[in-house]
Amino acid sequence: MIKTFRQLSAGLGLIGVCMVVLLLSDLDSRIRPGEEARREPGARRRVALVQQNTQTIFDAGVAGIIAGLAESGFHDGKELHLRKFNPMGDANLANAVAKEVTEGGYDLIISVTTPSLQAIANANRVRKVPHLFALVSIPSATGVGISDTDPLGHPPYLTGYGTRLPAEQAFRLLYEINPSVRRVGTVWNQSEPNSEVQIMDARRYCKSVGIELVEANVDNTGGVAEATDAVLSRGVDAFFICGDVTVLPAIESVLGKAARRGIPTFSIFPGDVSKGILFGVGADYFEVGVQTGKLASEILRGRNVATLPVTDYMPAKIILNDQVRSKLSEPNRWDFPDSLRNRANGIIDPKGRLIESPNAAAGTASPAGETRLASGEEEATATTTQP
Amino acid sequence: MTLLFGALSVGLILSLLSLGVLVSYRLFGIPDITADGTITLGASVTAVCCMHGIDPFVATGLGTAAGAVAGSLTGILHTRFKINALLSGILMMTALYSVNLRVMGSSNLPLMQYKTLASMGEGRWRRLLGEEGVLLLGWKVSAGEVALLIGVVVIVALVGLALYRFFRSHLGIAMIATGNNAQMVRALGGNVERNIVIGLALSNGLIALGGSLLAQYQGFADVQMGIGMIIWGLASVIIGEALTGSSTLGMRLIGAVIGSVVFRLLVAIALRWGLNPNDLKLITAVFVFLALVLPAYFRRKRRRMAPSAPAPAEKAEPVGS
Repeated sequence: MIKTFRQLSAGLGLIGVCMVVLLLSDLDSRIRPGEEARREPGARRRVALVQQNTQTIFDAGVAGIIAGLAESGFHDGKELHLRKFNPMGDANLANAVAKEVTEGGYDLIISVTTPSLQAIANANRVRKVPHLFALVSIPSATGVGISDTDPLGHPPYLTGYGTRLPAEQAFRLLYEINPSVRRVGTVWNQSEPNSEVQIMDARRYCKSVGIELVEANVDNTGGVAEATDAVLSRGVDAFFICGDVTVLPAIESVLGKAARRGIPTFSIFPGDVSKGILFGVGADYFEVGVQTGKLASEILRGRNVATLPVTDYMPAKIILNDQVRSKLSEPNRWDFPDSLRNRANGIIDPKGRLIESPNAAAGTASPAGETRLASGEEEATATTTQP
Repeated sequence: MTLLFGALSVGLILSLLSLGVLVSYRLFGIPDITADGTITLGASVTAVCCMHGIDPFVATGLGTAAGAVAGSLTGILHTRFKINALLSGILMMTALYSVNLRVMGSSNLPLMQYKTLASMGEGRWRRLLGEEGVLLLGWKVSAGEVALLIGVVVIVALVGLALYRFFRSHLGIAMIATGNNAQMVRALGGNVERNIVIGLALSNGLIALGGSLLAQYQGFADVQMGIGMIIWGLASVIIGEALTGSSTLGMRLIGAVIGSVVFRLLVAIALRWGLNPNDLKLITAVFVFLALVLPAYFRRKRRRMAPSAPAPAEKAEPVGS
C-alpha cells in the first residue's frame, strides 16, 4: 500500500502542484462578497478576441476588428486591454480557451469563425459574458440558440454578424457572363463546413439554371492537383475555386492546370483574381472585421446586447480580369457585359494592371448597424433559405 | 477555478483515450492510428443518436460500440489479411473519415439544444445546488461544472476498475501474454488473432467512449475533432509511465489517467499566463518535456543521496513553476 502510494506520489504531486499554480494564477477572478458589480470608472475594458485557426481570411477579420475598435476610440493598451487567443484548430484547446475567456473576467468576448462561436457559447451558458461573433456563415445553423427568422431571437448576451460565403453570387455572375455554360467543375473538402455551405448553394443554383456541377473531393492539400486534373479531364466549361482552406493553399497548381486547358476559373476571393482568375466576387473580410469592431465598441459603451439583431453582413466586391480572358481558348464566349463592367470594383486590364473603380454599385460597405446587405445580388442573398 | 474544473474534466475524458492507446500500444505493441477516426466516430454516433431523441446513456453506449466495431475491423485487416498493423490503422482511419461524414450528414453537429449526459447531469445538480452555483474558496463554480467533473470522475473510475478486472481474468491475461510474446501464446494453443482483434476492439471502444463524452461535454461534434488526438494519447501514456516509473498493470492504468490530466493542466496554465497564442504549442511541448524528464532525474538523485530514506515526493514540483 505504501509502495503504491510512493509510486503514485510523483504523479499526484505534479497534479497537485499544477492545480495550485493554476489557482494562484487565477486569483484575480475570485469574487469577494459585495464586489461583484464594482468597476472603477475609466478603467481599461478587458476584451478577449478568439480565432479558431491561423488563416488569411480569419487574420483579415481579426485585423479588421482591431482597426474597427481603434477607429471607435478603443486602442489596445490604452482604453482597452485586448487579449488574443488562437487554439490553432485544436478542439480541446478551443474548449480550454472558451473556459478561459468566459471565466477570466472579460467585459466582452469577440469570436471569429463558427467553431469558436460554438465552443464559447457552450462555456458561456452560466456566466453570460457579452459575446460578439463574426465570420460565421449561417449563425442560425450553429445550434447556439439563434433563430433563423427573428433577428432578435438570440440569447440576450450573444449577437454578431453572419457572412455567407457568396458562392451563389459567383455562379450568378458566371451565368450572366456566359449563359451557354453547361458544366462547371470544382474541388472541395467535405469536412469543411464553410465549403459545404458554398457547394450546397452552388448546387441549388446550378440545378435551377440547368448547369451540371462536376465535383471532386479532397481531404488534404496534396490531393488537390490530382483532383483538379480528374475534374478537368471530365470536360468542363469553367472551374469554380471553392473558398476551401484545403484547396486554397494549392490554388497556383489549380490555376496552372486550368490555364493549360484554356478553361476559365472563378472564385469567391476577389483578392486572388490577380493570380490568374477570370473573375471573383466575395466579401471583404477586413471590412466585416471593422464593422464588428465598431459594434464591439458600442457594446463596450453600454449598448444592450439583447437589443442588437443578428444580421447578415456581406460587403461584396467584384474584380474582373481581362488579362486572363484574352488568353482563354474561346475569349469571345467570356465577354464581360457592360452592365457588369460598370458594377465591378476593379478590372485587371490585358497588361495586368488593376484599374479600380471605387464608385461601383456593388460593394459599398454599409454604415454601422443599419443596412447589412451591401451586395449587388440582393434578391439572391435574401431568398436563400437556411437549412 | 472553473478553468481548473474544465482542465480536470477534459483531462479525465481524454484519459479514456490514453487508456485506449495504452491497451493497443503498450499491451499489444501496435501503434493503432485508428484512434484518430474512432474518437470522432464515437462523437458522431452519439451526436446523431442524441439528436433523434435516443436516451443519452444508450447513445453513449452505441457510440462506444461503433468504436469497438471499427477497432475489430482494424484487427481483422491486420490478422486475416496480414496487412501491417500501422497500415491497417491508417486504412481504417481513412475510411472512418468518410463514415463519420456519412453518419453526421454534415461536418459539424451542434448538441446544445438536445438532451445529453452533460445536460442531464447539469439539470439534476442545478436543482441540488441552486441556479447560482457554489462558492469554493472564494471562486464561484456553477452547478453544471461540479456535476460534469463528478460524473466524469465516476465514469473514469468505473472504466478503470473494469479494465483492471478484465486484465486479471483468463481472457485478459491471455491478451497481455499475446502482446508480450505471441509465439509463446501460439505454442500454448492460444488464439493470437482473436486476442488481437478483441484487444483492438477494446482499445477503440474506450477511445470512442472518450469521443462520445467529449462531444457531449463541449456541446458539438466535428469531423475534424479527432485529428492528431493519437499523438496526445501517446504522450499522456508516456508521461504517466515517467511519473509512476512502474510497469505493473494497475500503475500503468493509473499512470495513463494521471498523464492525461497533467497534460491538460499544463495547457490550462500556459493559457492562463496569457502567453502569445502562436507560442502555445511550443510551450506545451516544453512542459511535456519537463514532465517527462524531471521525475526520473529526481528519482535518480534521491536514490544516490539516500538509498533507504523515503524522500518527500513533492520534489517533482519545479515543472509547474
